[in-house]
Amino acid sequence: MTRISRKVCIIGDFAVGKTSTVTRFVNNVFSEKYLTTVGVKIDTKDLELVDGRSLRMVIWDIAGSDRFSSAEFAYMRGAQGYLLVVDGTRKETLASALALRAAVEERYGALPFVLLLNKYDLVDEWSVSDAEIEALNKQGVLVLCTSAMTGKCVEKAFRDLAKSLTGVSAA
Amino acid sequence: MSELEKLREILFAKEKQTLENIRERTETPSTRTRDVAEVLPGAIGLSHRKDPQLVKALREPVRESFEYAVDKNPRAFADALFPVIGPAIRKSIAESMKALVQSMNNTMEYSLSPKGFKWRIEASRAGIPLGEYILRKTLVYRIEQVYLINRERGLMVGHVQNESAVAQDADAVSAMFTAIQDFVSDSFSPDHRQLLETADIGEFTVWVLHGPYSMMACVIRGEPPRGVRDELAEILERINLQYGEALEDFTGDSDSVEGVEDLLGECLLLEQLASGEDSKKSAISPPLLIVLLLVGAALAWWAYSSFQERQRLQAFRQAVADTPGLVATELASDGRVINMRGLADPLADDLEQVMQRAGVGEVAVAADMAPFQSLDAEIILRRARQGLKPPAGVEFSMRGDTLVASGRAGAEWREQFLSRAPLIAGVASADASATFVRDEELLRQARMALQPPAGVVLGVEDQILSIAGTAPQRWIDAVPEGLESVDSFADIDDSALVPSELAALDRIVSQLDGRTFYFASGASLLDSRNTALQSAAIQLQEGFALAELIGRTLDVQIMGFADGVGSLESNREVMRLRAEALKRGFVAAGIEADRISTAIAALPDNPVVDESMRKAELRLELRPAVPTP
Repeated sequence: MTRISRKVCIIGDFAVGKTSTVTRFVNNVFSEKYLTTVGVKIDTKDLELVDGRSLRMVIWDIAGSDRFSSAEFAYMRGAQGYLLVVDGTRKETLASALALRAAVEERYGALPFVLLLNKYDLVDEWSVSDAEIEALNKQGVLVLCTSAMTGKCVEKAFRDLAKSLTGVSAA
Repeated sequence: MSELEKLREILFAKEKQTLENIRERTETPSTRTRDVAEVLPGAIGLSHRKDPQLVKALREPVRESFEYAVDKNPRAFADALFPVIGPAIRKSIAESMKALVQSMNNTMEYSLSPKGFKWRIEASRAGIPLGEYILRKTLVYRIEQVYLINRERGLMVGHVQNESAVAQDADAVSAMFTAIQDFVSDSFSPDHRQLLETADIGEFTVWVLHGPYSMMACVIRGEPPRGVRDELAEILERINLQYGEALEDFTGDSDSVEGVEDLLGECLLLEQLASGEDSKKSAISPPLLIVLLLVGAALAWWAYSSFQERQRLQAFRQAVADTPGLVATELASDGRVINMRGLADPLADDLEQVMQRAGVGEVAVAADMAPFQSLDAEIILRRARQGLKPPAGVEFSMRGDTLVASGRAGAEWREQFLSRAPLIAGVASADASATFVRDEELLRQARMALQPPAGVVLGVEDQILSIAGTAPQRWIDAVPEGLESVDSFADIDDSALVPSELAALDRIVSQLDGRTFYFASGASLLDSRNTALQSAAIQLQEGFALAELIGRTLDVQIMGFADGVGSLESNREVMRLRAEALKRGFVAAGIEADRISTAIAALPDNPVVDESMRKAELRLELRPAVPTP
């Protein structure tokens, strides 16, 4: 059976819930201490595609910070897609995320990505407006409201990204 | 033709022709085939480079074609596979044997040793099968896992591992390894270009080999020798040679690097087993070696014993065969005793001598031998010696079935030999010609030995020595001793040999016997100066000496006579006086008195006067020597 793998990064501001969002949906191979030591943690996510192939997303969970250092950017090298995570209760993290996107595109060119508006379970504290989401959608950005706590739309985020990466829907 | 058609003809004649050509090319199959043939190779190459669709499309038709071809002509495929399948099978068998020997070694070496018990406990604690634990402990090194990682993305290109290796998610490990590689490079390399090449983690060593677009990370248990790195590099080079383009453009599709894991798998074949403290592992473990040595020693001892036994038996068989008068009909050995049945001549060597010659002194021989008469030449000779008792100096030999005697032998023994030899078993005829010496040679030898004096004649005829003539008694006495150095004579004839002393004595006796000495009438006195008497006395003296020399007795008597004148009494008296008178004459001349006796002649009753009887006579008689009592 044909096996394909893709390098996928999760980036976003500090404490937007990058790690906790995906951790329930991936194969956790390494402990989180790598994030604080090496600055990156690798997980994998397997998906079956409708054409029969299997896709393994190798997920580079890159330690978040307000601004990427050169080392962190180095981890992005060769990435074929990414999940851009925003804390929906902290509006400023959206701006940071968009800035990150711009920086990545500047350095590595346009890559498929999905923007995750996380912490949707804290909808009372939600600070990102629908208009802003609409505006992003209009730019062609795929935006998903996710919740690490409930798991809402996380799987879908991976599936959407998989389709962007391979051109084939996940089964 | 209308104006319009004419116009069309003028305007589009060329295009029409072109269209016509195109139609012909598209509708004529042969032309189409030719066209496709021209572009087909290029089209296939282009399509293959562009995407894998062509491969997918061709997969099934090719498979079916292959199956069809195999079905129709299996021989061609068998021939094609022949050079490949042999080495593959041999390699497989070799690997299996290697594993078996290793397993046996490990089991033998560690199952009962203190170390074995320790490892058993440790394996039990670790939850690992004992065999696996032993293997881990006894490996100098073994390449457990190999990752081929795309350096750009950190994506795993290929991964192989040993069955026993515990592997994490290979994709995650590859990515993490790349991250750490970058992390280490960024953190510790001043120019961020140096790359991590070796990492030691407990009992593992990770070697990283870097290619142009990928790196090969080898997880090695134990401590590999440096040379292994060269072998790994060589494998990486081959991978780059074969997959260079695919590695450069690797985006995560395994199709593009299909088969790379076979090459990676070669890395796993590199391993080396430990042998105690030595890095050079002997093929066989010490306990197994001891067992094998013991078995080998037992086999060697058995083989040596059998060999010795066979050698001993063979040597004995040969010795028996070489011994005249012995015939072995059955000969077998049970290791300690040689059992023999057969025939033995009473004159043959006894078995102890045979065993000594064969050099099988330590082995007993049980023999059941029936007596027989051997016709072996040596035994016939022994039989002849026993029966014919040849004198010293006579040797026997066999010529065919003829017994030949050679040396010095007397005629009598020779006669016996010639008559009795053919009666001996194995002897058909006898030949004693070699015991004869030619008469001339014997005569020459006799002359040399005896040095006969003048007057002695030697002769040899038919081996008989004749000695004739006169010789001093001393020489005659020395003859037997002189002949000792001469070849035997059939006989010695010395009847014609006379001692010279006897001849002289005979001469004296013949001269003196009857010698007459005359007296005057009635006289009984003889002149003492009578020269005849003096001469006779000297001869008598010589006669006595000669008689004594040859051991004879010379009797001397003096007989007195009378002339018959007068009375008988007076005549007798005159006779006595005359004999006495002559004896006195001889005594006076030096003859011992008791050597001469006197006697008187007989007188007739009526004597006639005869003057010639006025005399005395010497009477001599030579007697043989009186044997000494």
